[in-house]
Amino acid sequence: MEIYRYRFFFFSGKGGAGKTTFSTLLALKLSEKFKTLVVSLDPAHSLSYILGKKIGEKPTKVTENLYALEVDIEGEMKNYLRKVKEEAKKVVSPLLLSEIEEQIELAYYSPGAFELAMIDVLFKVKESLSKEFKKVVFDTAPSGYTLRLVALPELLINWLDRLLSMRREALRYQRLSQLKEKKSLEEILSEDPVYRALTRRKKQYSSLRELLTGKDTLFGVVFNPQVLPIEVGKKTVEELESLGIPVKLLIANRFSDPSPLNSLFPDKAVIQVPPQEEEPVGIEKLKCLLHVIP
Amino acid sequence: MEFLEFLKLFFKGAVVDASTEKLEFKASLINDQFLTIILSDRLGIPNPLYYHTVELLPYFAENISRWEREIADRERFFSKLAGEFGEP
Repeated sequence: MEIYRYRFFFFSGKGGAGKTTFSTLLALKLSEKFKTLVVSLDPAHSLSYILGKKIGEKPTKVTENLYALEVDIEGEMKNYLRKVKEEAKKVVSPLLLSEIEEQIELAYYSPGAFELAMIDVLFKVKESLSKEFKKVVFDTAPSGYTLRLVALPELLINWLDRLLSMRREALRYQRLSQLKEKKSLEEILSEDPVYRALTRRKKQYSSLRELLTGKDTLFGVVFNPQVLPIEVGKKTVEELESLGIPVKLLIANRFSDPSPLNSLFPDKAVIQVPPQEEEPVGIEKLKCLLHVIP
Repeated sequence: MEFLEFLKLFFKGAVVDASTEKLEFKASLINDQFLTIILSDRLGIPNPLYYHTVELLPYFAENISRWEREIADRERFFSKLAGEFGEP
């Protein structure tokens, strides 16, 4: 398993399977050679706990080459919706404002909101930090819901294309109805907030697809040794692959013998993390485990 | 000269205004469709991307009262949509 050829790392698995621990361990390993960022999208923020250090909203230096970042997704959601509301205050007539504001507040509780906010964060991290950091490890993989959503990029992008062409048509009619000096349609489109937002979303969804399935990305699943967790893990792998996301690495966490995984997935790389007497919390204890990653 | 000015205004009123009104109406029909997409939940059709599409809502706000009247008669609204796009 040549881990250094990948740039982005995602780990999936049941809660408590050891995703955060392994992500941190891998980031520590990568940071021996490259400037590495480990990002937690987990509301529980276990990263601070494992690293034994308060990790902030900006990349926080942990060791020479290792930085960590904890994103508060709920905070991001509030921020985004506040911005939408501010925009509404500017463009909506005062008579309608309260209804529109109510409708915007509803978005916070709408199904899928958290997952979509996660997409926004992934995109933001990729756009703004992947230049500075050579390797980025995402501690929490997107949920099945998110994956199903982005696994259908053609559908999603076709849908956006349809909306873009609707918007173009509406603006064309509006332009034709004006008699005085006319801007060109292209000029109008480039200034139109709706057209711009839709274009941005389109870029975002395609970029996310690339981030999750591209050849620079390593997608791993963390397993635990009991029968049921193995079955659940197996299902996760199958589901990911049916969505077009190849699982390139299996983590046999707390396995004294990784052979059940080897026989279950004969052609996948397996990294075994043997059971530890003490929980590997803190940089020093994690360092003792570095040898498990080849 | 004044006569020519009146003549111009007459033709503008008779021909141009009528057609600009039609064009504006067409544009607002499309804007209604955007509202149908963003607020589809109100018609009983979930919008899994509501959190993302809500950022477009402010720009269609001026249509919202009319749109709400449109959807009040749900049966008529859906048959009108079906008429526009064809039965699914």
